[in-house]
Amino acid sequence: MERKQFSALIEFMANSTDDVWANFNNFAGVEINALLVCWQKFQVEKLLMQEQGENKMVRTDNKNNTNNTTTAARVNIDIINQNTLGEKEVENILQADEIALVEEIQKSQSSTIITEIVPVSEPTSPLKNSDPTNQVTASNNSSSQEDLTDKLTNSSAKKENAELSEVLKETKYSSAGTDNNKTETEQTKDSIRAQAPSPKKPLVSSQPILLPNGTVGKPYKFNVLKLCSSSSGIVELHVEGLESTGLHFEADTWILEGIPEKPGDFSPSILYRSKRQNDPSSFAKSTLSLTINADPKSLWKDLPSDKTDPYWKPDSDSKVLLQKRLLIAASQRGRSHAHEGKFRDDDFGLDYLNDGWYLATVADGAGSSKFSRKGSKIVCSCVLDYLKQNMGVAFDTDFEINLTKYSCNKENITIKKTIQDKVYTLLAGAAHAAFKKIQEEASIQSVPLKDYATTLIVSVMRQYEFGWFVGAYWVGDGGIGIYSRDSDVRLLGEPDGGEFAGQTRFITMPEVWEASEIYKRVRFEVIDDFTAVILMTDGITDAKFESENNLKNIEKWDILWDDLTRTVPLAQRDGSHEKELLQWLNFWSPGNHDDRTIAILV
Amino acid sequence: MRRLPVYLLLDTSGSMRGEPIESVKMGLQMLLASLRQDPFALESVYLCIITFDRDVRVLIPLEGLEHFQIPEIQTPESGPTHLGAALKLLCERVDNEVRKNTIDQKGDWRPLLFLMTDGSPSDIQQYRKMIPEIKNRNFATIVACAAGTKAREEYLLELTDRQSVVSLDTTDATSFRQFFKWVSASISTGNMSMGATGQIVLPPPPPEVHHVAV
Repeated sequence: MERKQFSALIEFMANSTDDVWANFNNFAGVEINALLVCWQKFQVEKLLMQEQGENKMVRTDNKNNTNNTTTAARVNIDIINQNTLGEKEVENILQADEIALVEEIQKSQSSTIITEIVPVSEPTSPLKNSDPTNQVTASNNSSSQEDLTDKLTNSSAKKENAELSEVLKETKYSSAGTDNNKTETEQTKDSIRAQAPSPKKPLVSSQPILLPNGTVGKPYKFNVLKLCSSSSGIVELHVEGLESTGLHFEADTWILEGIPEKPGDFSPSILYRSKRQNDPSSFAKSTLSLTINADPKSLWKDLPSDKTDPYWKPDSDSKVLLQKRLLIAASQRGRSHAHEGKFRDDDFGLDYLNDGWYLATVADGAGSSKFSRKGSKIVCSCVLDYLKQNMGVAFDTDFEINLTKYSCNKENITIKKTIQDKVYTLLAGAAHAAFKKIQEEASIQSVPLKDYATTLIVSVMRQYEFGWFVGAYWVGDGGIGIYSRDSDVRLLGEPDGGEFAGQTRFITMPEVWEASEIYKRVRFEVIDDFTAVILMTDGITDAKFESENNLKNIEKWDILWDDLTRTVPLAQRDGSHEKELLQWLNFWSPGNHDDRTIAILV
Repeated sequence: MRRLPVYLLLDTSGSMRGEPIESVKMGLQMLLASLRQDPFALESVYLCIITFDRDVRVLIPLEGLEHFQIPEIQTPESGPTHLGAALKLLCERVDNEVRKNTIDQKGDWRPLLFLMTDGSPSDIQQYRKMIPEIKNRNFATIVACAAGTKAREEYLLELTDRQSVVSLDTTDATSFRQFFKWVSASISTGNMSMGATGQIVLPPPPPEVHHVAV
């Protein structure tokens, strides 16, 4: 409630005839308290406006008891039930003139509370800004808003209340307004300092009123009532200028809704009429501001990568090897690279050795490394070459014997260590060979090693009599797991991650080649059977698992598997599903637009 | 979902009153409009605006682009420029808001900081005390802009490296428009995968935005 309006009300009451007061007196007690509540609210709002330096006070001419038509105060009385306090129960608009007030008081059956007086030209404040919780101050000076809030609760506010009751008492018992009363209300006007949120933006404003933002294709619904002060007494409201937004305005519910069609900034208008405006064709008008965001999906471009680049490789790739079991892999350039015509930095490798070994690698080149597409390619193929050459020697009959022993007794630490050492020698050897290959390339090109930075996951899998042996080496993010549906998932390592997204380790980093480090990165499992062994780069794990914890959660793997097999009928185990797998890699996942690579033994 | 937190620290001291701050607002409009056309930014960028003059306030706490609306920006008549206090508030916000990688959630991308001032810090001691704190917060980039003739670049060079300190000849609409256009381009490169200590490489600035000389 505007302070001026309130003082006008007081002054009006002071000047009123005995008849009016006789009626007013009938509502004594409860109403006086109600007025006190209003007074407090009013003080607070007034103070906010003062603080904003936009105090447009309405002058009322007390002597004539008339109001300036352009700056009229409208006194609104909410007829409310004693038990409910609702903004939506606005029923009356009053002009601060004698007759109407009397009528109103006579009409009211229950308690009345004056909630708001809305001046015609009130300053605006953006919807969000008026929430004091948004304004965290860290100033050393005394003009912080926290101080002001304190002042509300200090004695001066109480003093105002006391003064008000004095004023009311005096005006109540003296039928004619005296100069004394005027002076007192003038005084209280000047000494108020307090602050509180002013949530409602007045409807008339000089700057466009902000509507909430929308997005193309996303249903939009907003009740325009929220823009209005609760008791502004608006009886008719229209929103115009919505052509091409895709939104429409419901005149009876005041709801603005629809599905936005086009992105952009729009300026619809709001036309409104309040009850006290007798001319039904006269509307006041304000401009609204509406921002519609584009649908992110529509913004992604797909530009081909530069074929003339010496390190060019196809934007997508896939391979399948069908043996007793199916080994299949696919790799797809991510939307963020496609958007800029950059390269696919992921890569993979698959191979099958005649003695029954299934080999798989996936690698994710670092986004910030210039030649990481080459780095990932080098490591994937180099590792396979090395394994092909050295596997037979390393994983000989002794190895098989140890594995068999281990499968009978997994508590046997000695056997476990023997196996671990063997696996370590082979797989770390393969990774190291890959590392050296990158070094060679970097050296030939006279380019720093880190320009080829890439992650790497290697897996070797073979079925023996006792079951399956699966060994792995893992540096970086992404993941590898032995997945058994509805049963469990065994991860063959842990993702490397820093404190922030996008941070991980690469094969080119010196720290991953410290002895203790390497050993930790080599793991193996002996298992009866499984649904699938799955290797993934983080383009997939980020989207499907989100967190490291989730990577260990079998339910998440079940969801992934169901999702995958819905598009790719892997259980059929025939060699024809590369296309479907690539298609699946195109899934939409907001915020996850990295290259995606997956290798599966099923 | 992973967010890219972007912190804008804007000087709202008395000298910014009037045309300069209006130009900043227009520049911000431009920044928003531009980012809204970048599909990655539209999904991931979260902006926070902190203003500093005599007071320091979080004008808009970290908010996604989708719902972001530019607020009213007030400037006092005159008074000091408490940039040091602003940096302190920024540290508090970053500590509270920016999500780190945990085993339960994927952390945000490394935050970005864009600072604009048209003068020099009044609370120099506090400013200098806060500089190492800011550096510890692992911003992927700290861009400091000295706007107009009264801005003192040397203070900004204490905060960030020479490639990341830029200056504007004037505080008019054109200068700020170009500056915020460049901010938008810089943000778009902010999502790169990188090692723990890598810095992002900023795109070359437009002609109105100069790198500072030695």
